Amino acid sequence: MTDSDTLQARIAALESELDALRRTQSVLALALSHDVRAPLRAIESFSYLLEQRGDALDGTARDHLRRIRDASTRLHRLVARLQSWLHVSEAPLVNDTVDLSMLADWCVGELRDADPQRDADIEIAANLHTQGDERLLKRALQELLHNAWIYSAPDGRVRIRVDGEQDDHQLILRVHDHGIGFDPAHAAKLGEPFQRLHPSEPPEGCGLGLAIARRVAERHGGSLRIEGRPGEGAIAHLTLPRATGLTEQTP
Amino acid sequence: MTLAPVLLIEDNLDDVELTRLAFAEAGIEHPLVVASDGALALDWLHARGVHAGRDPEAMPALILLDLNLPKLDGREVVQAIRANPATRHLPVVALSSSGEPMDIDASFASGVDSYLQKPVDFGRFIEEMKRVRAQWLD
Repeated sequence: MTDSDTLQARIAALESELDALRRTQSVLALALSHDVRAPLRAIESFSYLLEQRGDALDGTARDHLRRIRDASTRLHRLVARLQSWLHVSEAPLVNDTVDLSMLADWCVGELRDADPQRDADIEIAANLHTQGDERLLKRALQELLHNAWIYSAPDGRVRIRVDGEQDDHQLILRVHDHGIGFDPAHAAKLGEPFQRLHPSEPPEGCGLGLAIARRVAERHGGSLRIEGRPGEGAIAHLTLPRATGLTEQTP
Repeated sequence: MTLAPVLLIEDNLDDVELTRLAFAEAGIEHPLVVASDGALALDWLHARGVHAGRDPEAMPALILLDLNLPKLDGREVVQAIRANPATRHLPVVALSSSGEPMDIDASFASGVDSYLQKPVDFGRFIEEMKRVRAQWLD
């Protein structure tokens, strides 16, 4: 057997392994959208119906029921987030020139709509362009900007800046916040699924937001790095390919 | 006056019970006939097999069709309903756990009239059933 034959055999084995992994991923996505939701719906709905008869229960039973309802709500949220993570991992990629400045502006609009009482200073640099899938890139920006928003000091003003720099090959988009920050010793953990650094994180979090953003970056041949210090905010560095359809604009 | 039944094609017994309860909450008085798979539903519609004694002229006011069924897939069931002159006019509302655009598109392509994602929240399910009632039964 020649070296070339050995290499071909190795490539065939890896392709076969990759196909098997993709099939597993698809089955998992299908199970989350159908099979997992059915029993979850039953738990949620029948516990709701039981709660409607709360007068017939004593205090301990009502407390247990409340815990079941809270747990099913958390599980429902977790399933939805896992579906998002799998979706960005397996959705076919569309290749367009994408205006990230416009997408960031759009995402901030959604955050303002959801939290209209909050004062926010948002600065978004113009002409941040990349090459890739607009829907998935918007998803990544939603996650990064949502994090920047919710980890802002609870009583203070939200201050977020989005800027970037590019060379001949890549764009590095940065999302700066002035929030609670984190211990840099834990930076490597961020972006791994289910990693949460703050015990008092908002209850809707389940440690998948940065994992979703990182997966989107990786599917575009890029990466995500987070830096921060306690009390001094954080900066997310999202590395993406430079837009090939544009030559004039510079961020 | 006897109301025509609603035919629910659903294999999950929890979902059958939740649909019964949501019907009551939504004020839907049509009797609910349940078929646990697509083949039994087609037998009921055409008064054959275990349903051979049924009046074949008595058609349901509405079909609620779970898409994730054993034996015949939900989309195959709706295609069979649309292919037969006796049943092609019947309104069919698809029920599914999935909110994926691909699943919704495939359902409409197979011939359903409407698509309803089964909500996890029972209060929302009641609201959905009220909409079903207003659109298809009142």
